[in-house]
Amino acid sequence: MSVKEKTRDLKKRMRTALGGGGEKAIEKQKAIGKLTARERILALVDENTFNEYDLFVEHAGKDFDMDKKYLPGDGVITGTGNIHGHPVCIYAQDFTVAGGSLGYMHAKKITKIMDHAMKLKVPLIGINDSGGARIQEGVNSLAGYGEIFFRNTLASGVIPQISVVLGPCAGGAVYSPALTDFVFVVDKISKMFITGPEVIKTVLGEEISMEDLGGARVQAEISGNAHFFAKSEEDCFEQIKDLMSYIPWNNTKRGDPFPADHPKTRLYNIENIIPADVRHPYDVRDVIRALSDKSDFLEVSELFAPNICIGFARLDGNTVGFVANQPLYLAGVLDVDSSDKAARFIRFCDAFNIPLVTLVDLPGYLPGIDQEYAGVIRHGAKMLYAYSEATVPKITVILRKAYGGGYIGMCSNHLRADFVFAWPTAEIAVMGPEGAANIIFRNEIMNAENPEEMRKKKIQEYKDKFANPYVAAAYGYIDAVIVPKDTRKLVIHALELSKGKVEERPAKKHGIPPF
Amino acid sequence: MEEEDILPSDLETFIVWVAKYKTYLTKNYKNRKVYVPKNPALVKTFIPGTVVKMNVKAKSKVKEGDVLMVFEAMKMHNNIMAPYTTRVKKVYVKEGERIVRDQIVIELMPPPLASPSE
Repeated sequence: MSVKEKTRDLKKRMRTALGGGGEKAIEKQKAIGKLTARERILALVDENTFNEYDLFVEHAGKDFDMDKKYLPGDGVITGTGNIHGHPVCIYAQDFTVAGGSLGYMHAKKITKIMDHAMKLKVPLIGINDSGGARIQEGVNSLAGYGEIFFRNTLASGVIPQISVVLGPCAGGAVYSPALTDFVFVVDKISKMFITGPEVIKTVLGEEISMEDLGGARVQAEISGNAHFFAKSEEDCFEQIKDLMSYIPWNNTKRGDPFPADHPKTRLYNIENIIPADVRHPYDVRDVIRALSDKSDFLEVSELFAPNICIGFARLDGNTVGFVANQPLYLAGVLDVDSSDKAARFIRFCDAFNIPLVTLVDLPGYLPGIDQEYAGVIRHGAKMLYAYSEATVPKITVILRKAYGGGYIGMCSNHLRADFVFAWPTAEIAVMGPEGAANIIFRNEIMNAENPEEMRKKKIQEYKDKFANPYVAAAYGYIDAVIVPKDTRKLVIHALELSKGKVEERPAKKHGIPPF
Repeated sequence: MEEEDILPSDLETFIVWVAKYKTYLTKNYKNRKVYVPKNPALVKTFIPGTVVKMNVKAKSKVKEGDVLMVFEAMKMHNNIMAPYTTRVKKVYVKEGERIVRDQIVIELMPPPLASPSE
């Protein structure tokens, strides 16, 4: 055969393999609003940059007549492409081929591209759409999952890992997304659970729909397993690209710098956002937008534990991670879920050289039996651990309340914040004036002729004396009490100063965080 | 105008220590498990299953650790034991009966500390 003929033969083979699970299966996939695996990859990467590998891989099933079956690409597409002009490694499970089930060679393709990503030190994006383990391949499919989890763990903190769940992702399979840094889900399309509705019904007699058990909304709002929730696959890909614009390609790099730009100060006037009464709420995202370039802010885990707000923004063109109490929800308290959410984000930022800017306004940790039973001690400790461990530049701005353990936990001077600024509205104390006055002046209030009047008087007395930033400033726990309008300027200056920051931690194999 | 007047009307009052904050509640907070003190006299099942053997009836004397009943769940036989020495007040299920999670199966006379008069 001539080169021409051989090339023609290659093209014929490619056409067959590229056909995926065939027209019928593709039609079915599209009918429920899903793109095909290849379309998804092409929608995500820069135009004409995708190169596919292992197209001719064939499955290794020998039993149950599997040897007579041809599964194009063994149900998964792997390759490399660019996002924002930089290379990434990517795989997408193809539900049209044997339900995207994971067999031995399917897993081999995934682990091969993962090894590639680790060697090249580029991000890994995994698109999950699979019925689960290929039962006909038995223990080999379990081995495949195990090999993936092991690599997810090794890659953690070295390269960014992104999981996109665009279909079912059930049983052991969900542990790969769980081990990665960011999980994206799409309404009505994503389904994640360890045991499905049928098992739950058989074993426990409890009836629940797939959507209510592990749909996108549930994972983004109730369990917090997913970090980004989108209405459609197209929106989801835009979210991924937006996220990729902020983060570095590996742990030795920084995110691409952007041209510096001003916040939209007419929309977000920093002096008008915060109510004078400490018991009144506001949207802390408005403060973040009043500080950030172009007032852009990409919130992470927006729906889960919204009492803490985390996400990425740029200051003077460079990426920072914001961690801010959100008084709009649960008065901004720290609880089990919000501590867990913030601690993980802090560790991501620290691993990938992203400076942390912390905005503080919280009444403390949430009291309650349900919180104590759920382990708020252990979960709350994660915040202390993550902040103390982090050696990236850490800038803290105390906007209003900073009470009790919450003051310590929100990147205080004591956890080695590099700079702590406080607004003149800051109240730094062991607890709020009402609580403190009740305890300190208990006898005076009880023995007073008019206890209610005395209580009010004592609360005011405490407020005047302690509900301010100057007591903490007098001990040097605050570096500067600042005019709110100067916040952006000072934070940018502090970040500029901290660029060459070197801070050592004791050598160890690894710490033992309370997780 | 007072600041209070311009706050959105759908905000809820949320108490932390003694201070009352105006804020929104989250779904997880609203659905949190509300604590109910445990009544040791009410014997409940922790998993759905089928009653295999009932060893007691009303007025039976039982010692702490006695097997009150056996039920099968997830292909395992589970013993339900007396939490303290007492008498049985009432039995709610029969052998062969299907039971759901957290169902009261047996009621005991109250524990001695709770009713020192007995």
